[in-house]
Amino acid sequence: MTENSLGVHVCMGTAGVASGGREVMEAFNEELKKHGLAGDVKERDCKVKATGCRGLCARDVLVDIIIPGKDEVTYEHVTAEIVPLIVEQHIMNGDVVKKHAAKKDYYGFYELQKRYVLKDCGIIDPEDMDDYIGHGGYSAVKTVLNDMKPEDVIEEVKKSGIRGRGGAGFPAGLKWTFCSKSPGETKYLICNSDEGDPGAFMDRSVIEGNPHCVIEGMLIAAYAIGCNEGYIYCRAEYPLAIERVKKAMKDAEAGNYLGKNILGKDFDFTLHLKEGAGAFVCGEETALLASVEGERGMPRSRPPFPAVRGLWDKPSNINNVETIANFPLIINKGADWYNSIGTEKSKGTKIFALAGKIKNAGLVEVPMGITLKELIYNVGGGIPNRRKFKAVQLGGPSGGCLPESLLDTPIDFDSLQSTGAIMGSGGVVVMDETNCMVNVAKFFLSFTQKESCGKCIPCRIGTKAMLDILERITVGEGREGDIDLLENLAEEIKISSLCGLGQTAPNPVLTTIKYFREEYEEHIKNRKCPARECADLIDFVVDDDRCTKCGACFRVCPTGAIEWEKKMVAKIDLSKCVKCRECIVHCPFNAID
Amino acid sequence: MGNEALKDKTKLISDSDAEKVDVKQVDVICEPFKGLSGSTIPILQKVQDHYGYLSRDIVERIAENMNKSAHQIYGVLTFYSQFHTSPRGKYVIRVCRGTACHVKGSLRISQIVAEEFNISNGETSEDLKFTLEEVSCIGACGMAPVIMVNDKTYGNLTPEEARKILIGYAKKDV
Amino acid sequence: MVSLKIDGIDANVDGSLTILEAAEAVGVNIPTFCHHKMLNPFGACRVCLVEVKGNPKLLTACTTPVMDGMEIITSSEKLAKIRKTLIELLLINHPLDCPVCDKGGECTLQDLAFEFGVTKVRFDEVPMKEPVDHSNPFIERDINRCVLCGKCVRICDEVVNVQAISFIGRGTDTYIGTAFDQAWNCEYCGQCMSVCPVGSLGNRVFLHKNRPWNMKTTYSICGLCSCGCTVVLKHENNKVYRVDEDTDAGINHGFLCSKGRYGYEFINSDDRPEISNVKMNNVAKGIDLKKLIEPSIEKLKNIIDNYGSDAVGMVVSPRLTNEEAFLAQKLCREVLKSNNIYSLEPVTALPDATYDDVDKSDAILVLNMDITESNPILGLSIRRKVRKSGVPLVVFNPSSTALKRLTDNIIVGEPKELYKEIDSFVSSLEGKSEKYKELVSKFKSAEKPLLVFNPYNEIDLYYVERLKKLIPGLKLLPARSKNNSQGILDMGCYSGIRPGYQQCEAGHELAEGIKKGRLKALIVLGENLDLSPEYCSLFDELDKLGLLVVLDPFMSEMSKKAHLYIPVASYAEKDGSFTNFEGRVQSIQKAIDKGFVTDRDFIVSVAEFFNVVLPHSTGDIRVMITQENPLYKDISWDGEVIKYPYLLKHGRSQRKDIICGDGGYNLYPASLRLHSGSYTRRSPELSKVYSEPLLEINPADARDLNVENGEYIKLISGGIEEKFKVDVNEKMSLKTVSLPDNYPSTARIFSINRYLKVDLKR
Repeated sequence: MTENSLGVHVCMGTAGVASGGREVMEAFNEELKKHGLAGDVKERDCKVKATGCRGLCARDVLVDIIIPGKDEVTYEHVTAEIVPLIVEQHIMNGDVVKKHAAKKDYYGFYELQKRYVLKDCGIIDPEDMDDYIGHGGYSAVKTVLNDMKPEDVIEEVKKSGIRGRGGAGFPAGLKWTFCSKSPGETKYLICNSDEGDPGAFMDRSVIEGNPHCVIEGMLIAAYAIGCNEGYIYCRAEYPLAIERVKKAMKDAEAGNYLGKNILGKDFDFTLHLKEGAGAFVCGEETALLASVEGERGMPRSRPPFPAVRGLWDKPSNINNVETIANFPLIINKGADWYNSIGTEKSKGTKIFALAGKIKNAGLVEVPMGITLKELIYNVGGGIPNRRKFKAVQLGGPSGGCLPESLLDTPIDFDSLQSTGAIMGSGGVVVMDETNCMVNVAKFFLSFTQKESCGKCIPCRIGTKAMLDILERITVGEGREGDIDLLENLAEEIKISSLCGLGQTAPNPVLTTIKYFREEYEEHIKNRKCPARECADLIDFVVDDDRCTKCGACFRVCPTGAIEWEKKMVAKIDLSKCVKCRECIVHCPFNAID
Repeated sequence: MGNEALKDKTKLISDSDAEKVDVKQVDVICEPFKGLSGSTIPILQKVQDHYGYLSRDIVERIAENMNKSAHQIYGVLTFYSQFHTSPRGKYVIRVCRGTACHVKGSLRISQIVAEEFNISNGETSEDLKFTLEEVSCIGACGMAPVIMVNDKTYGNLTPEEARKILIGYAKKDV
Repeated sequence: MVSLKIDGIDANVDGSLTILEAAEAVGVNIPTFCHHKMLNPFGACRVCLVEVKGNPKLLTACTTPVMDGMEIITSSEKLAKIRKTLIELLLINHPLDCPVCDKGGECTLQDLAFEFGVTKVRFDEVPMKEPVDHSNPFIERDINRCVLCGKCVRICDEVVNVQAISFIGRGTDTYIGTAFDQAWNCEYCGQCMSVCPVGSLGNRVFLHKNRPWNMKTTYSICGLCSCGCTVVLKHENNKVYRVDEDTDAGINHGFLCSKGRYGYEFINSDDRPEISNVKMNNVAKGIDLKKLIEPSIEKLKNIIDNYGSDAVGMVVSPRLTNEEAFLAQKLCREVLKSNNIYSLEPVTALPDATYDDVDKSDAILVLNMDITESNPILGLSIRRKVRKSGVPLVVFNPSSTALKRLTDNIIVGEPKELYKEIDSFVSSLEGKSEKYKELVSKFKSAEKPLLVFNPYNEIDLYYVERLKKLIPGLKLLPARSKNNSQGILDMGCYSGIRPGYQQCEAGHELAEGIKKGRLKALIVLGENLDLSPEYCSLFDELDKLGLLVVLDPFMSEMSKKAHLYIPVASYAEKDGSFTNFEGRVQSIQKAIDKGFVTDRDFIVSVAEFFNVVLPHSTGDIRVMITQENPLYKDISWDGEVIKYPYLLKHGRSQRKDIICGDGGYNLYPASLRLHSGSYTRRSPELSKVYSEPLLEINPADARDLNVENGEYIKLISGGIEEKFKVDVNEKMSLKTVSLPDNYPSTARIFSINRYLKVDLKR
């Protein structure tokens, strides 16, 4: 694409594809052809490019129109039907189609963000290596191989202060030194892309949007540590990511960025791709190693750590995808630059996946130190449907729920840890007053229970025991002493479990008890669910005083159990009610108990 | 070999004789992996891609090829959600039960699938047309709640919209 | 070396130890559940968690390596709480079956619950209701009691390398089972059962028969094969109820085989006659031995007077102890003045390598043996070594063996083809052939190569000699078959060889002696010629003898022919020692007394009639042995290995006629893992699984012959036509079949030759 080219960038991340991205791309190609603008025709060529996720998935399909000399315009919720309009009105005649163009709040979404790691996502074609190189790709590898010794690279990464982005937050440079120092010729580098946290799709977007930057990051790490073989372990539930990584690996190999004598230097690095097979626990380092070795993904005790005895008993270094994606940045811009972003102990940026009851659901990259309030309200746009904020869940099933009182907490590893939550991999799920915190705890615990590998007693049986107690509480069979029992058991499971899954599984329970204890007590003592989410504790009776006779409930009831007429208070017929709670979800006045 | 154990061996052998499934493709798939370590999962994935599911004869054939015990291979495949030992429906409905989707009501959608096709999580309808799979996260949280039917993703669904989509599939190839 | 503190105690240990091992070294006891000395640490139960100063995390003592300066606390309030909770959690699902569970009294869960003070469970019980699995003939499987410690899976994987069971599923739904929940199909070694800490895997032979606190314990050496395993006999009221193991005792590290573990019922068998069969008069048990044998001694003296001492002979079986064997040859040579002392053991190859040599070896060659069947514990030792260290393992055998799980170098073929390959291997060592170039280079460059072979196979001894010359530093391991096969030879029970292998005057050759009638009287201590391929054809000639005395615990075919039959004690009922295939001399202990006389009692009694006093007590006999047997001069009788004067009797020539007969199939003798000789055929549980001799055949051959598993087929060889039950097994090579050679029917078939071409007809 030349500087004079006209660009149509269509979001083809998973959400984009799911929203019809492919159809949109085809429509653009057809329309442009019709107008004679496809390929190298006439004075300017026009390229329709599939790009990665730019973040605001709720507005997919997002399309950027880039006309040289003019402002870049983004269209949201694009469908194949409106493409002809955009092509004719905007591309041919330079007149922006205001109705479909992104509104001001779309740009507000980006204001507080610092898209460094994600800078190419949304701009380059993830399946085109030349596009990556054209935007500065693989220059960090060249710097490293030409101008730096392995120790220098380790020093630089240490200086940058970057901490693991997978959830543990261990300083990456320090981790490198352990593996680097371990004796032995054969060492493995592993990229952990088994992003299993429900609600997290940061790693997915990085790999789908810019797979080459992951390869580049791995090359830098491999060179620094002394690894000649590496694995990308990607979960099978990301077929698009796997497809793109496979292509990137092939292209990189052809371009002498992988294989033997990379870029003519005395450095070999062979990269393999391993697909996960559907086990969340394989995101845990040692379980991942077991899976690569072809066994059940059951974690192994540490010490000895993988840096000393890892894959097939050889020293291995495992880094998360997002962490790896930071390495080219650090080399290109320098550790000092990286240091300048973030807080004293948490440097750089972090990618978060905003989801739940939030207006701007999607992917964001913000500097460490930004507060939760800023993240949720400024970047995230706040709570939709005029609901009130209740809690924010950070760190997926290993993390915790924080209440409104803690919204001023800065987002960095240590500040979050002191609240009882963790940074985690970056999942941020916002909840409003219609979410029951006991139910949330139960939901997360069911997840970890289902994904527990089953090896150690505290996690296998302990989390089930906790879940059974929570089940009882949510159906109105809570007992006096249950809360203390949960807390005691939770603490013991935390300190006696074999791996991170068990050690953090009790966190949602502990934080919800810590910050929302009254809600538990309501469930147990009064057999009531204040948020009206636990179906067994809801009477499904309309409160005449609070009902504004709007009829919203009547419209959404699937079984016709609600009697309502204009200007009448609604009434629920319990014999027809299936307790689906659609009425409660849609009642803007919380009038149903 | 003991007499009691003999009975089981007999069953094994005459089963594979009578089995309609042609296991020779297993040999073809396993061949390039011979001598490589850590190939259990890739082999299982490729074999399942071909046959649709992993039956007893297929697992035993894999074990033979890999010079491993079938019990060990079975132990590995039952650990991972991806592998199935019984045939699946023509349409695999994946209802995302991740946090974002849960918070946006995906449980109700799962119930609707159960209502329409009389199957619960992990089950396949008797006519082998539909399989319900509750998954932990599809990664399309921006469009929660999300379901997938085979390769197609549907997002931003209300329960009734979901029901309509499902009925649409039910009507297909009738 | 590493210095650390454990509960305030200073410890100075090797840096390769774990905290658990270091604690053991200084006498600190850390509780464990899923840990086993012989298995890789697993770290699953969390019971052994300890506090380490300076580390916010608790660490499992079983997996964590020691580090200099560590300060470890093994008991504290925090740890006590956790340990209690762990047991409580297990008790959520574990049924409270104690009153009807055989493990009661020896159950780790019971012990830990008591130790940790668990008196109530804070959580709701959720009992499992899976049916009990009886599909394994020896192991009762109650999955409801399983605590998922994984020891059974791990031992079947890491030690036995069969992987007959596995963890299935994930999380709370995990259970231990087989692929597609099929019936358990394995070697029945029982290793899994022996390590189960609770009553989930039970011993079906022992089931509900007794309680651990009733039984007494006696350590002894197994009296079946020549592996020489230490067994722990559990008995009460002169009945053996169970055979246990002890991980810390003996060369077997707590591993036993299926017959050692489950085949002990023959000791308690009702088949053991209580009445001596004396053709002359019927005499009841318990009567004075002297009175019993007096008439026979008269006859014996008559024969000696009329025909000379060399008309008398004695046959000693490997079931005898060293002490009894020594007395036997003394009786024969010095009291009866006859040189005709026999045993059916060859002296052509003597022990060289031990289990330790297997552990240290860096290249192992198994020549023409199915070692995991014939000597299971030796087989286990090879499996563990190869699994742990990946050393090259080459196996030559007519058919595939269980070792295929550990090596691709299993060279099979019908006997003629097999020997061609062995020839090739030897040629490759000589540099004359390229075929096995890579493999032989591994043996040539090895520092501690090891050869395991069959000393009973004349043909193979030629190759053993060649290999010994061609592979520098090669250690030899002749795998003898029975508990004291080696010992009786050491004690001179062989015509022409004195105790200690010095030459002496030889007597008649046994077969000739019987055939030509030179032997008129035979005293047979335990041996049964009806089961010997070499001598079974002469079995009926024994009727010609003027006097046949047979001592045997059972009324064997041989016993039936005797003029005087005396039922005698088994290995559990006497003191003494056995020498195993390593040449290791280990003492056995008398555990029970069923009122039977021993072979020793008989020998001493006979000597008395000739006015000779032979030593009777074990101590006295041993003193005499140290005086008369130079090899046993300074031993402690407690596990030392004898150094032998030679390894191989030289001068073997290559046999050209390996196989004879005509027919479409090649027959070779099989080793049986489930039986050792004929005693174990009297153990009903073992016999349920393997009773009559089975003909093993390849599935393709079975199809050709239109015969299915369990059906009968006719075997025609050398004029014999016999029907055998078929066992279809994929391990068998094409057109190659096997039968055990020590049944009356099969011994006769193999009496012509070891390898035969036979015909098979439906």
